Amino acid sequence: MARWGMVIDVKRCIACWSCTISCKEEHFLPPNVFWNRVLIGEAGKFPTSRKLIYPVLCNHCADAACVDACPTGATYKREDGIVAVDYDKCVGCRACLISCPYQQRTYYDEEKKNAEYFPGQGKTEYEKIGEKLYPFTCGTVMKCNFCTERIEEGLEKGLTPGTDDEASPACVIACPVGARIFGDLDDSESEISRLIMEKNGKQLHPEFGTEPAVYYID
Amino acid sequence: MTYKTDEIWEDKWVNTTCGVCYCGCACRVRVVNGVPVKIEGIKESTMGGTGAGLCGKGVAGLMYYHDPNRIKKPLRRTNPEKGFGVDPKWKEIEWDEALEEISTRMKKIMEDNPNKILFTNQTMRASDGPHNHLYFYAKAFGIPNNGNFIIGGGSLHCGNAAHMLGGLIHGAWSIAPDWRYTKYVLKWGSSKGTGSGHSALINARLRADGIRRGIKEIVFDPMGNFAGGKATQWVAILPGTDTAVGLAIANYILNTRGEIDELYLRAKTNFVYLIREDGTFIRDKETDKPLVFDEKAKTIKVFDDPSIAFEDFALEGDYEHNGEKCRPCFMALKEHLKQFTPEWASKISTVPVATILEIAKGWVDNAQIGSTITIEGQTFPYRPVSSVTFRGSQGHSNGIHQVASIDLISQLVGAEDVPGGTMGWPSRRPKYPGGQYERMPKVGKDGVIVPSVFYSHDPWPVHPPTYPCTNSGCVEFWSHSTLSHIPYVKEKNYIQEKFGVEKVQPEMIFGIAVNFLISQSDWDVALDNFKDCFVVLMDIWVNETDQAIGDIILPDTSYLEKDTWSSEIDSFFFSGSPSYEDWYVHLQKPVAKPVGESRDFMNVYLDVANRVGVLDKYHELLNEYYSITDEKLKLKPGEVLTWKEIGERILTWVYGNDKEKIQEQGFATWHKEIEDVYWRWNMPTRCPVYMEFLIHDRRAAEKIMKDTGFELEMEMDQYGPLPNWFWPTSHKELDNEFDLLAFSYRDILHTNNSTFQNPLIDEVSQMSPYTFTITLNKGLADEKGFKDGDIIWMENKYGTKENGIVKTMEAQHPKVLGVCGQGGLWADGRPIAKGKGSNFCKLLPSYLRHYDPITGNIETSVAVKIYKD
Repeated sequence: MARWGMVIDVKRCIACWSCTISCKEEHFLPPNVFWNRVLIGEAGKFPTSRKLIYPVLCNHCADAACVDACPTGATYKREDGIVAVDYDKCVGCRACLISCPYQQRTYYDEEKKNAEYFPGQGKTEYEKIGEKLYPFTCGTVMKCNFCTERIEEGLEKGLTPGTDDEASPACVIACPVGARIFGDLDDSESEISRLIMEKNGKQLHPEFGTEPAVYYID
Repeated sequence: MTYKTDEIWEDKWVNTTCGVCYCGCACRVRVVNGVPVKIEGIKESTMGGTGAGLCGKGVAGLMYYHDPNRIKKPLRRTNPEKGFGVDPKWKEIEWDEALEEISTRMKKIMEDNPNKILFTNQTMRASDGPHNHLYFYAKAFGIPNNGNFIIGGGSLHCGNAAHMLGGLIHGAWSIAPDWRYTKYVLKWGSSKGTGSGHSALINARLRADGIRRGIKEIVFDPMGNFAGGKATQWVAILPGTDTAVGLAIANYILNTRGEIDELYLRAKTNFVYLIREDGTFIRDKETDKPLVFDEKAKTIKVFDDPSIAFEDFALEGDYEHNGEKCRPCFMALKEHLKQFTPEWASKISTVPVATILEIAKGWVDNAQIGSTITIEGQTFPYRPVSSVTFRGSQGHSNGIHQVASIDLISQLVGAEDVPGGTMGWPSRRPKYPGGQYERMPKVGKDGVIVPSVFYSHDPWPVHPPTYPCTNSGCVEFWSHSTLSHIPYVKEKNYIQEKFGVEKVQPEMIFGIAVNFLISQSDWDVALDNFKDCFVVLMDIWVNETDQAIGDIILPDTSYLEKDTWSSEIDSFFFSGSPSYEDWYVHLQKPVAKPVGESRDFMNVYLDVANRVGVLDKYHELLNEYYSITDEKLKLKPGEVLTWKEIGERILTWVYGNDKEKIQEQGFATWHKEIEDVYWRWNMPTRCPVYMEFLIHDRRAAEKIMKDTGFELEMEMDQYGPLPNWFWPTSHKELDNEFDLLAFSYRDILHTNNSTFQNPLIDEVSQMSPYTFTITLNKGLADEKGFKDGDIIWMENKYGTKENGIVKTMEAQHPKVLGVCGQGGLWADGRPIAKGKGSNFCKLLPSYLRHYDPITGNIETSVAVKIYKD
């Protein structure tokens, strides 16, 4: 069984936010809910300061704090490494939200459900059809799922996640500069395993000890 | 999580072309039950990013369709008063009523003088319908040149100097590094490869690969954000001072190191043309051709005498012709450059001397002068160094000298249109296999390229200033302005009176998706200059210009509803790949039905042309543009067709038997030959780097000014043949009180101001630290007592002010403040955009002295003071 992971090449990334917005369209996320974000900052002092760009998402940690924190088993680790949420089991206690050291979880409530992209002007057809295609449950916690549906449907069709677009996360194929590479961390021959070795891929805050499946290369 | 598939009766992807910015990337749209729900790039196309990649604003384009603020019927102003803050009291009217009124007014004006109608469009909507159609549409009304266009999109911040030089040197609209083969790139106020500029994602994809390959990218910019923040080296520079550093580097190359590509200079530039003492060319009496000295034959000949080998064109030496002393103009350059030392350049630009020298040394060391490369069996000179500029550095009152000095660096080492060097977009568009349409550049007067296509105003051949002028743009006088600045100039009436234009005062404006009142310069000047016209604008919302001065607003379709066959017919020149990649041309296929009663503006164009009685003429011009010779396909007099029906004919002409296949898949692709990439090397043209024509232009302009008693301040010394240093107007206005230079920049999320109304873009803009803020160097902010989140005012010397939220950053020059584009919006028709960001444009004073006297580019930095309430 594969263990899915991602490499983000920050040298290639130009901070266009395509990952963030594509993710929103893929999952019909309501206003102000993000499963993918881009953190922008800088390091150093003028005139030698550097701009820092870090696209972030759920790290699908091997030793996920959110899984440990969940009292009902709603958040669980799949065999393929994806940290998933079973909305039927989630009671909305938000222990996971507090425990995630990467702040990648969002509590979905009535306010978010009722939010409109054009405030006060009603929901658009896009939002209405999204509620049918990709319904969420109020009172539960949501986050990036590595586009589980795309991976599963792709595998069923005999496709390879990370190689075939149809089987890969939306943010990976959306990136206009090829800064996101998806694949099997357990396969030493996969492109991401090779990149992590070759370019010395680093996890964000390894000191948290959760073993993220998202690596960054510079 | 389950999909409710039983309720889904349609789930498909439609290939089309993105219309969010002018790049026109390939995109495909997922449509569920008739509703567009997701946008991606097209993997099979290189027109765009990597694989199926598309930038964030392209992906967000969905909301242009879904926006409930879309106008659904034509609107008429019922309040005769115009101005900021005035309620137009819109009334919905029927299309027929609107079109009848527009065409009746037009016919009446045309009986008098068609030049009283101004046309305008916006490059942001270019891919909705090709922008060059506007120019020959206007031509059908009897408007012969570019004097009757108000620039709409990037306004005069964008392009006039860069396009002029791109046209003269490369026969191209724009320039980019040859990312595939380059090793060393200098970017001057340009974000090419980091998400802006023409073919933004093509360049971003190619640059990302290049960066991974290890190229060095040095960015001169007042801020280290999009381009500078990604560079291998960011060099903080004061706005408008790039010329100084460029000239110091050129001096280093030519006089300090003395390592130049002599063969290139002899073969491909006009530096070999002989000049007399006053700097003008010595010409052959019979042919009027410039003369050169053949070192082998030891005699003077015309420049294109086939008996001279390239290596024998003299670059130096003193000669005599018909008793007159002369020398190659290269010698004038060599002497001229000596004054520009790194120390001098450092004082002007604040770039340290050591940095200038280090970069200049790196340039020469990497240029590999004399080396060649063989690609696809063809051998070319290999010069893996590239120097490119765009909006930032060229948008100054010294714009032409900025771009010319930046170009000179590439010229001296022969890094122009060869592998690894500075590339223009292709000027050649060969036929699609089995099709008919092609466009090829020509060799014009003095051996200079005549581009195969150019928008508005051809850069070559040049025309000296003349008068009286015949249109409000006075382009007979400002003969190098791609689009004229005069309609925006504070002293417009004085200028038009002096140049004999008072009888063609504009009476009507007909425009597509423009917001020219707030996107150019001083709002009050623009309001004064345009409010008395009858203003007809088409857009998908009511924007600030519509609200302030619009008389009739027509609802346009968004790009997602358009069936536009011609969206990128000239993409080779504007939106294609400047690199060695296959040709791609994309069509715009409708993804959803038009919102309300909105109509594609191309069909409205045709309807109006028919009502006015100029449709046959327009058909003629279309036949001519596409060189249609097949009688069956020609558009005939008396025919009244839709834009789609016209497309059926023209696509057959362009693509032959493959037309239907291409329409079905939404794009055409065919192999680009290597000689179509590095085409200029094999074409007998010479770059007019010695701009001799400006000497003649100065004489003509000064005579006109004297004859007419024209007394406005114009820096006539800029009319010189060699790049030279001139202080930008903004620097001249700095003093103890107005001590900072404000500048604007392009944020990757935004195209002018239209993107401010997109909620998907708006919410990420709010997460971006710099997009909606005024950026200040941290040290400067500390010194002035400002901190993040403070509301401050920026005020110019003329009392115009704008406020915004402070965001401090280290990566910004301590003498500048940065504002992203065109925020500070207030139109009631765009509630998402309302109140977001700050408007930089209004701070730009609009006196004639704030414009480049040659190209008409506005000075895009401004001296300001900043303070809290």
